[in-house]
Amino acid sequence: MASHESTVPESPKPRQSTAVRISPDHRLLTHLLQSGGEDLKKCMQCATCSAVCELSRDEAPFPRKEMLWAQWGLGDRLMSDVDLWLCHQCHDCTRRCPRGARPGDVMAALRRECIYHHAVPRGLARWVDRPWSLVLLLGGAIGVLGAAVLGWQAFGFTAAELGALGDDGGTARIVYPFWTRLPHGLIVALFTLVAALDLAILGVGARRLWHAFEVTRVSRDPHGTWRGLGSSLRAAASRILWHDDFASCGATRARGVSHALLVYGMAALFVVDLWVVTARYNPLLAGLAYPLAFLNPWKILANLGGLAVLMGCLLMMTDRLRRPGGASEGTQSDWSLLVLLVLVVLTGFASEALHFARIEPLRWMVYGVHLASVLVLLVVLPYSKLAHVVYRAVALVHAERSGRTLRPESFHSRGNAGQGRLAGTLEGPGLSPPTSRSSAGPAV
Amino acid sequence: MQLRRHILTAAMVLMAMPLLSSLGSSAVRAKQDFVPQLPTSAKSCLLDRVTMRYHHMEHLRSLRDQVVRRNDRSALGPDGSLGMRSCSGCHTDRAAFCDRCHSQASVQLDCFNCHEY
Repeated sequence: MASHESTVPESPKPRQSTAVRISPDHRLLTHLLQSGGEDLKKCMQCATCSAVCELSRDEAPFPRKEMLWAQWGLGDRLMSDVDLWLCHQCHDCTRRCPRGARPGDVMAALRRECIYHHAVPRGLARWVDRPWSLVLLLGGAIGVLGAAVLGWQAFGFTAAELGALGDDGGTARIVYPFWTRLPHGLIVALFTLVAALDLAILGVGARRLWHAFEVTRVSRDPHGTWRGLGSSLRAAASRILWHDDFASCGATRARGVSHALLVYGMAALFVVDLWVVTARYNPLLAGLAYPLAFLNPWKILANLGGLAVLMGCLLMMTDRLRRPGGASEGTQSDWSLLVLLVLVVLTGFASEALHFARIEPLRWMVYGVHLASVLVLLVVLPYSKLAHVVYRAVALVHAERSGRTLRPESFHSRGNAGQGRLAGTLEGPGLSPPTSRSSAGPAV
Repeated sequence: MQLRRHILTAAMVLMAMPLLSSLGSSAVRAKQDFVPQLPTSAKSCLLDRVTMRYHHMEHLRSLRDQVVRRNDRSALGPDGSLGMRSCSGCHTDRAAFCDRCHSQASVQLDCFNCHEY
């Protein structure tokens, strides 16, 4: 990793302190000051933010040091900072900041830059964030979908799928495609390809981020390389599933509600998608697999999931307009992702309604736009805020392992169990956990 | 605190419900129940199989418009036998041929408000 800091060569005379020459990352600073960190330079390092933060530990506080690093343009430190990802943008810091430097928004902008920094290819990540990129991508996706439809038809796959079902014993299932021009085989092939690319890109990003954490970590891993990984994973998963961190937020409690709606809604939609799209190959299915009746449990779950995502997005949008806690109105990349999600959900509901009403050809057109917008969502996923699904999870696991996520109240109530095991690891000032993870109860 | 956990637990249970219900009911729903009853007498239908399977609704609707709204009975053949009647000529059991799939897919049939089958 290229360092922006270099120690001045030691002079023969003894010095009182080591001088460090700093070369700021101008690109990072420019991006920060343009979007999300406009008020960054107002920070006067009073540390009110770190003091009022409900999520940071007394022994390893943030976001004051991130504000300082950002002001100085210390890109390397910021891009490998675990604490960046422990912040859940409650805006307690923003509300209490005496200078209006909005640390909560700076942290969000830094996370965005961190996603771009670790994404492959980095240039594409930056391009996707541009104002008109989503529109271009949507047009491109419609074009790709159209070309795929024609190609699929030319190769005879469409006719093969439509004609194949029916009279071949009891093993097969009957699966009607929503639109006969977009058979399930095509959707499975195209979307699996893009999803696999997403997984690969996010996997590389997660690996890079983990290594960055490892390089800069002060405390030694108390568990060794693999030991205790299971419990760290469980602890991180529990924090994510129960939304514990959001519950600690003071200034913007509604963030937890909208986030939970979005997480659980999208998870529900993902599960239903998997079920429906793979219906043709699902050994659990028999009989008429698709279309689903309106009161079919899968259909109910899909509709509830869609509603949850829509409500979550609308709550997030109103939150950005109401600006509780003095947060900003949200950056442009924030808004374009929200608009894209709303577009996906609304076109989904619209095609459902038009399908029941049998309004043609509008239902096919809306369905085409729906599929194209889902395709765009999959394409931008590893470069958008949604990448935090992976990055924050990686950070939470890493933080569990290095003891950074234990909160004071849970730490005090934990007693002395496991104290001896970690006695030798207290190297940095307060960066090691005083107790082991095995004795850590669920942080509630 | 507890309320949040209860609500999120309910959401997780809700997400598991469809899978559990599908696991429970898959054995009952055999595929043969949904294959339209095929006649042994006739070798071919009015249109090819794919068109009949996916677009019978459009076909029936265009026939309706032609006959009822434009008074043009030419599509029904010289003896008028290619209409709705021609379906029941081969596929005799309406419950097996029409109703089963349509009710499974939440489609309300209004054909038989006027037609006998």
